[in-house]
Amino acid sequence: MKKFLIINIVPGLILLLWVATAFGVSEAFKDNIYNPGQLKPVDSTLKVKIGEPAPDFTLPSVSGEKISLSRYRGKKHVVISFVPAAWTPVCSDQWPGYNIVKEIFDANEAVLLGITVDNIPTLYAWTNQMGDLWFPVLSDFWPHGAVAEKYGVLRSSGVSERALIFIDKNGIIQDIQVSDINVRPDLAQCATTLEKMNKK
Amino acid sequence: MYRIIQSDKRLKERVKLVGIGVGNSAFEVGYFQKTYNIPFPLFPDGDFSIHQKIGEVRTPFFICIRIKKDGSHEVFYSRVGGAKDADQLLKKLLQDSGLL
Repeated sequence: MKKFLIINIVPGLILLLWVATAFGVSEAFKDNIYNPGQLKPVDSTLKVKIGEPAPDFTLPSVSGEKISLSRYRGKKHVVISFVPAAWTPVCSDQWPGYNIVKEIFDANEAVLLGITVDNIPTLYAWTNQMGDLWFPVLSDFWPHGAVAEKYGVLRSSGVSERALIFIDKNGIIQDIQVSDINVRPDLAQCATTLEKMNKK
Repeated sequence: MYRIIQSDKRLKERVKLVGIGVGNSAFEVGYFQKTYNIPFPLFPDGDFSIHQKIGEVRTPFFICIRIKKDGSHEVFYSRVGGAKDADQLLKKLLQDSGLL
């Protein structure tokens, strides 16, 4: 706070506006967010490696369409965003942030696939609160967490890690970022990796 | 509201508007500012430290601070929610602060 007061030592006013892409703290999500508290940062062991082909999958999406990873082969780079659970604070911040940086995905010829182990009705209600997400939201609910398990990002509690998997147009994994489940990954890292992947 | 303040020479000199991005990094705040053409300064609060000091309020949240002649300061308005009418809100804030 002191930092801001220094800029105005003459009598006057400072108007502070708290803004956020952080939907988890927004008035829009008031009373609808369950706080799981601090969790073990990472609780799984990866089953995929950089440089290897990404395991294919087909999952139902909130829009009703079934989406396979292989549909993007030769056309687009793919970023898979596994987030642990709907209606939790960090996850509710993370996906709306991707709406703001859609331009970066477009510029780098990439699409984003959002995946959780929640069922479709839950994902429908949750993502509706975020406005119009530009990317498909997929349900890895049944068989429960099968895709997360295939990638080695399914935690012992049955939710997935907070993980980003970067897959190039050839279907090869170019980067894997499994972050602390309690912290939203900085969009800067995602942007940098996308640019790097597209330049290869 | 920022544009109203900037267009008035007296207000421009005496009223400053800044934004704080709760949970946002410098990259995110910069990108947000560029994307939505935000004309006033935005500051990152990536580790939520400022947000915690304020009391973990929900956003958007608005706080107005009066800077007195002796350099001390006083919060005279703090409220959650966006402004529906910038003109009316600014007028009220200026009246409450004693600047108008």
